[in-house]
Amino acid sequence: MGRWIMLDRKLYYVIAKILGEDFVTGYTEKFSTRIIVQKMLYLLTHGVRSPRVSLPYSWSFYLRGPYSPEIAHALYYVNEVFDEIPKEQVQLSTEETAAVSHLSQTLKLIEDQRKKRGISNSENVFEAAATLVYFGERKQFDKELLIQKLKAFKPNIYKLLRTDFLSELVTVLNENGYC
Amino acid sequence: MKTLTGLKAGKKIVDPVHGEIPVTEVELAVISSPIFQRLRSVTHLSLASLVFPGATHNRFQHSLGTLQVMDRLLFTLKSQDIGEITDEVIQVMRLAALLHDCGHLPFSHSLEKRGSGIDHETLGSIIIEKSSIAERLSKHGIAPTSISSLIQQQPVADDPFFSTLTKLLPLIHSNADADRMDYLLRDGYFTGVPFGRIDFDRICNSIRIENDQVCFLDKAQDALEGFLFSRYQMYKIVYNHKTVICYDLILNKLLDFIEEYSDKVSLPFRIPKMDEFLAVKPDWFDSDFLSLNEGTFFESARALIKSTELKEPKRSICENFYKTIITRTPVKNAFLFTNLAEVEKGKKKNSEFCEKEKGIFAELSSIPGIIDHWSFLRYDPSKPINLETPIEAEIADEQDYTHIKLLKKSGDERYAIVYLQSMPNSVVKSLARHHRVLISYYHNNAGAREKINEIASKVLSLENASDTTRAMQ
Repeated sequence: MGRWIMLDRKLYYVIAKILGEDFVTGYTEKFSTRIIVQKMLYLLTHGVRSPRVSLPYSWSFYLRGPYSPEIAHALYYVNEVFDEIPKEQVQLSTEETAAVSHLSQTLKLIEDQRKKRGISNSENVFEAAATLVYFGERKQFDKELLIQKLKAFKPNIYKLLRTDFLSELVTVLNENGYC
Repeated sequence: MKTLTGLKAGKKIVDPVHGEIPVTEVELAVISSPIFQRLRSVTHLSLASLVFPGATHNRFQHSLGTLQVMDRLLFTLKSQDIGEITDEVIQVMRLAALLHDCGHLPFSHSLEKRGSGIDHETLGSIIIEKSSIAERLSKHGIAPTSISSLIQQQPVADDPFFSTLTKLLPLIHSNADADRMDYLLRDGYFTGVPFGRIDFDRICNSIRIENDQVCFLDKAQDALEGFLFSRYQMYKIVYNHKTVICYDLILNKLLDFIEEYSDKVSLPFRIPKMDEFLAVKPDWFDSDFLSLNEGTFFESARALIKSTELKEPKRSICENFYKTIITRTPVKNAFLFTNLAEVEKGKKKNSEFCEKEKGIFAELSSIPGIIDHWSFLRYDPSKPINLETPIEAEIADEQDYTHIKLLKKSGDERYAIVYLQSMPNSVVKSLARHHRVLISYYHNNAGAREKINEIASKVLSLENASDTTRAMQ
């Protein structure tokens, strides 16, 4: 049946809160923006022990990692009407507020590591993080196995991010309850 | 005896759409399970047969057809000799196609998400992992989760064929997947409408894997656009036929009654909740679950009407709904508004229409005997406006797998992957910019119909109502 386009203020709110409003309005403009938004939302709504935000979108897994076609639809056509969306405060539950704050802090830790190691491209980091969380979701945590799986599935990203950074990334994700 | 892709087949099943469909040993084991045989009693188009008498086909036939289309697509990919399309991968993909609809409840999409609140893909995954299907798959060395996860569009990372199965996901879920190809051909065939015909061979022969992505040779552009347009036509003419929608609505109203009284009256039709599905023992799916069918639905309606628990005026209302379906008595259409709005404008109009519709109901409720009459039906009580996309607008995103991609020659030996709707000569991209707005009200009283038409036309500001509405007096 036909897809309903919903003006989901909660979705836009959490993206704007964590990444900035430009990531909502600029979703269609750059591939890197689309990757970062999708992967950030995956981290926000998944994770083994981390607090989560509840969003009514289904997720799938394809070549670039976790992806929600429904979120893509909700964001792809928002530009034209973004100004008309009421901007009053969206009510998040206590856990959801904690999830937003927890993810922001975790992303800051990852970002610090990325800069420290001179990795220029942050969308690859988001892609790797969401993919690692997907791989680790239904299993006992095993750092080496996760990195090996990423290497087998995404050899290019593995090469670009290098083992030392990936090792640190998995540690941060694990310590913060995402895998 | 072999499948087209070369797997050893144990039997052939004859199908009116595809001819002979060879099935492998594991597929035969799955098909023979009671839970799969249940699909014979799940009508593919619910009550559409009350409008299109030929449309009595079922999910069992469609599942076999999808299996055959999948095999046809895999055959072309295998013949490219890329090495990844092994017998094991083919078997998993064929099983995913065969089982993609095993979670459908009676009347297919009509009652989907009612009661249980879960969609057929989620329920299908539970069935594959918990019912006797799991045992039958395991016995043949197939992990049930390999199949269920594909249906849920989340390939299992531990699967030995994880990378290939991920690449092949668009064959199961996309705008040109095996499911859509079969249901268009099948629904067109069984309804008898001259739509739903597609250039199946050209589409199947053109499929390729390039740069890990499923795409089609650009010479199939016309066939693919014809396929999308065919789907658009089928939605317009069959799936959203005003009388089909009317019976669908009555069916849901009957279920409202059955659900309301299920605690007071012993009724055989009851849709379990999600947690109940998760808690049941495996043999429940092959026994009690089978009584959840279209026959017991009407049996429950009959039992409820006879029950002393159901008092007037509710009893008469329930009986009217029941008789309307059983005797195929249509409720007259009072107002029908269909409009193709451009995506952006349509999106703004979505909330605008909702507000306006509230105005229609406010005015109608002040007139006695209209909205409280049993025959007053609106399109969908929970979604007053049906804003659908006949052809989804392209999302040009490398992360996406749902949109059709073409392989276009860009140099002597070079090929580029482009989205179908990005082709300068694409004819469907203009249709993808539109949403179809469908508002429909029904009433059996001529005076009420006149009032509904008058007020709805006024509130929706239809200057020339005859252009956009059809009142069936």
